[in-house]
Amino acid sequence: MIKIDHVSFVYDQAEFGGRIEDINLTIEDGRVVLLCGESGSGKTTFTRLINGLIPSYYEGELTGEVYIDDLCVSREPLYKTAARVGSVFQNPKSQFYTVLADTEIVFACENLGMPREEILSRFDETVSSMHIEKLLGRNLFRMSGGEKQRIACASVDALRPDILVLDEPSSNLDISGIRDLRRIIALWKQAGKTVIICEHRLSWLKGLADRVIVFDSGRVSEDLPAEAFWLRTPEELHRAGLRAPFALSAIKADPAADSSGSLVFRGFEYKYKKASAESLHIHDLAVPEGSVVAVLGDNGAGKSTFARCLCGLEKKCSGVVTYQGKNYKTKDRIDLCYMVMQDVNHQLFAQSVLEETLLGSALAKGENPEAAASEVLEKLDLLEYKELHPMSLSGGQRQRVAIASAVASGRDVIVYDEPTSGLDYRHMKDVAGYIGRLAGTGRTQFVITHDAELVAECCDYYVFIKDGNVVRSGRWNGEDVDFISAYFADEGKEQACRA
Amino acid sequence: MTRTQSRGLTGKDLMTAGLFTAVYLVGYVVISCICGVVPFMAMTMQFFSSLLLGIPMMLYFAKIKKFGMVLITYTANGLLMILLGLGAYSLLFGVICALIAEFILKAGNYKNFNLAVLAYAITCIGANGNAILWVSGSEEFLAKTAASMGQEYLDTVVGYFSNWWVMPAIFLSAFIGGLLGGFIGKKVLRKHFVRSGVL
Amino acid sequence: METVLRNTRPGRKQMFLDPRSKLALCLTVFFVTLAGDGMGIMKYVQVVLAVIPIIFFLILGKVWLSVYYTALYAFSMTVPYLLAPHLPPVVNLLFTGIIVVSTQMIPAMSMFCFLVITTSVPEFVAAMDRMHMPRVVTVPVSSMFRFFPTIAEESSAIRDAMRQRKTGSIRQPMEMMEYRFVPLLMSLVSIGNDLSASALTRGLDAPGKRTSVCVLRFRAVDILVLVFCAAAVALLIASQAFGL
Repeated sequence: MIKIDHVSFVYDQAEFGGRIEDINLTIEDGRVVLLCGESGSGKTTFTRLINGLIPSYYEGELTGEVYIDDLCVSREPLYKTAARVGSVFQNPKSQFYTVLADTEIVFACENLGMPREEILSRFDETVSSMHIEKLLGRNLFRMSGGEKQRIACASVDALRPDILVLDEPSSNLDISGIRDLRRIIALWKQAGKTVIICEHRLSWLKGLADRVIVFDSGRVSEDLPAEAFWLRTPEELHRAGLRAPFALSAIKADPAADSSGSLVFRGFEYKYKKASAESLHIHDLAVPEGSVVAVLGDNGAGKSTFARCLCGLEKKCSGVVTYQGKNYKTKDRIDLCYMVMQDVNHQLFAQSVLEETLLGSALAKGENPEAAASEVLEKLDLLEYKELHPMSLSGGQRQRVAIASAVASGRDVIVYDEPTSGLDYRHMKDVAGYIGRLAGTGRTQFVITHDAELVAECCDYYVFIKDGNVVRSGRWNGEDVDFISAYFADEGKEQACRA
Repeated sequence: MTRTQSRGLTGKDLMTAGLFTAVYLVGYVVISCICGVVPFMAMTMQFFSSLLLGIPMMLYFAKIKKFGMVLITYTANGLLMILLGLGAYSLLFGVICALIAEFILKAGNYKNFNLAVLAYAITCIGANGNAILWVSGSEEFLAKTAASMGQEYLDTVVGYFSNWWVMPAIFLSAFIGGLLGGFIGKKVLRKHFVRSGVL
Repeated sequence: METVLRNTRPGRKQMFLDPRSKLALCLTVFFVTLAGDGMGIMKYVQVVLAVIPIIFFLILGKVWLSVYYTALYAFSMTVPYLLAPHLPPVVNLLFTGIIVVSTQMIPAMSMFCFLVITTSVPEFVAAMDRMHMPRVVTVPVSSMFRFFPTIAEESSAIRDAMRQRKTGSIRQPMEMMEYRFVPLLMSLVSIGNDLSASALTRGLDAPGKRTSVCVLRFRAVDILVLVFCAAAVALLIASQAFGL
C-alpha cells in the first residue's frame, strides 16, 4: 500500500515540473490508478514521489512523508525504492542505457547484483509473457517508439516490482504502439501489481483503470472510481485538460472548397541504404493548394520519410514537386518548404524569441525587421515573450516559436511533424488554432500526426501512407471519414474484444 | 523537511562525466582528423581543438560541483590515446594538468567562471601532451636523413635543431587556444545557458 | 530463450578472444612499437606486431581494411625517405616528419580498430568488471558508449535544421560554432538528465557488486596470446638491456 502523508514539494529549479501542495491519500495494492490534469498541475511530480526521484534526484523542499508499506521512500536512497517501484517515462529515446534490447532488459537486475541464473530465468519469463521475442537481438537505436517503450516496460518488469509508475507513456506512440502498451498494463493488472499512470489521452485506458485522480494547480481536485469518470461528457473532460475518447464526426466534411492550384508529387522515391526495396514510392499525388493535409499511417510506414523528402532534407530522394507552375527538385524544395520538427529543441538557435524569428528569414533583409517579426509573434501570442530566451519557455511555447520561424521564413509549404504529441487538450486546441489561422494565408500545410482530435479540428484533406505508398487520399467525404474512423478506433475495437 | 546533498560522485555525476567525455572525445578526434589531413596544419591541431572545444567544456566545468570529474575525463582521453598508439604523454600530462585544474576549480568553490577558464586552458596543455612525440619523432627522422645526406646538409639541420622553441610553442598554443576557447565558451554560456535558466 | 546473453564462448566475431587479451595485445603493440628502436632483434618483432592486425582483418573477412592498412604502412615507410632529401629541413620537420611518426602509430591504431570491431559494449563492461574496476570507471565508460550514437543522431538533426534555416555556413565561423554547439548541448543535457533518472530508478547507484550476464573466461587461445605479448615485451627489454 502506498501512503502519501501530507506531502508538499517545490522544485529548486522550476522548469522540472509543477509543485504540489498538501497531498494526502493512500493507494491500495493491485489497483490501476489514472492521474490526470493539465500540464504543470503536479501529476508528474506526484509520480516522482512514489518512485523516489524526489528527493534523491530532483532537489527541492519536501515536507511530509511517502511510504510504500514499511519503506519510507522520502528518506531511503533511490536504489532501495528501485526494487519495489518500476518507472517508465515519456520519451522512448532517452530511457535506455544500453544499446541492445537483451542487455537492456537485464540491466536493472544486473545493477542489483542478482545471480546470473536468476537473471536469465527472469529474462525468459518476461520475454515470453510480454511476447517480445521478435525484438531480441536488435539495436535499440533502430527501433520504433512503440518497440522502445515495450523494451522499457520489459526492463522494469524483470525486477518484478509491486508497483509500476508510468509517466505519459503513450505520448510518442502510434495506434499499434498504444495497443501493445495496453496489453502490457492488462498483464500487470492481472498479476496483481499496482499501476499508476499519468495521461492526457484517456481512451486507451477505458476498462483498465480502477480509479481516477485529477490534479489541479498542485492539489487533488477530484478522486473518484473510474466508472464514474467515464460517464463524463467530453466538455467536462476537456476542462480537466484531458482528451476525450475520440469522435471523428466532428470533422468538417467540407465539400467542393475548390482551390485554384495544387501541389503535385511525381515519382517520389527514396530508399534506405540497407533496405532491399524502396521505402517511399509515390507515383502521382495531387494535393490542393492552401489545404491543411493530415498525413496518417502507422509508425514506420513512411510518413517521416515523406516529410523529409518533401522538405528537401533527403538528398537521395528522386522526384519532383510541381507547384504554381514551377518544378521543384530536392535541392529546390528546401526553399519551398519549412519543417517544424518533432523535437523542437533541434531548431532553436538564438538567444531571444525575436532573434529566433528573424534568423535566416526573408524578414531580416526587409525595411523594418523588428516590426515585421513582432507582427508574426503577435499572431502567435508570443509578443510578450519576445525578449526571452526560447529555451526558457515551456514546451508548447517553444513549439510556437518554431512555428513563428516557419511563418517568418515566408515559405509556402509548412510541414509539422507530430506537433501535438504529449500535449493536453488546451494546448492541442491552441496548435489547431494557429494552423487554422495560417491556412487562411494561402500556405499549404502538412500535419503528420496520430492525434485524431487534431485531425478533426483543423485538417481538411488527408493522405494515408502504408508501406511507403499512398493508399488513400482525398477530402473528407463519407467513405473517407469511415475509413479514418476505423483506423483511429482500432483501439476501441481492441477494448470491445477485451471487455 | 528533507534536503539531499551527497558527497562523493553519484551515479548522476558519473553519467554527466560520461556524457561530456564523449562530447570531448568526439570533438577532439574530429578536429584532429581535419587538421591532420591538411598538410602543415598538423601542428595547429592543438590550438584549434582547444579553441573549438571551449564551449562544451565550459558547460561541463560549470556543471561540475565535485572533485574528480575532470580527472575522469582526461584520464579517459589519455587512455584512449594510448590505445590508439599515439603515446603515453597525454595520459601522464593529462592527469597532472587535470589534477591542477581540479584544485583550481575547488579553490573557486566551483562558482568562479574565470577560474574555470584557467582550469580548462591548463587541461588543454596536458591533453595535447602527445605533441612531444610528434616533434621529437620528427627531429629523429630529420637526423636520420641528414646523416645520410652529407656534412653540409647536416650543418643546416643542426641549425634548425637549435629551434628549441618548437615544443614549448606548441604547448603555449594549446594554452592560448584554451584561454580563448574558454572565454568564448563563457560568453556563450552566459548568452544561452544562463539566460534560459538551464544553468 | 534464444539470446545473445547466453553466449559463453567468444566466436569468430570476437576473434575467439576474451576482451582482456585483446586489450593486452593493443597495449603490447603500442608499447613495443613506441619503445623499440627498430634495431637488432626488435626489427623483426616490430614487423611481426605490425602484421598481426592485418592477419586478423583477413580472418574476419575485412579484406579492404587489411589492404588499406598495408598500403598506408608501405607508403609511410618509403615515401618520406624518398622525399626528404629534396625538401628543406623546415618542411621535413613539420610535414614529412609527421608522416614518419604516423608510421609508428599505424600498427597500434589498426590493433585498436580491431579491438573496437570485435568487442561489443557489454563484453567490454564485463571485462572491466572482471578487472575489478570501480564504479567510478565503469559508469562513465559505459555511458560514454551510450552517448556516442546519440551525439551523432542529434548532430545530424541539428545540421538539417541549420540547412533549412540557411544559416551557420563556414562563412560565419562564430555563428556556426554557436549554432552547432548550443542546441546540441542543450539537447544532450536534456537527454542526459532523462537517462540518469531512468538509470537511477533501475538501481544504477546500488552499492555492492554488479552482476554481468556476459561470461568471460580465459581459454587456451587467450593464454597463448598473453604468452606472446609477454614474449614481445621480454624481447624488448632484453634488446635494450643487452643490445640484441
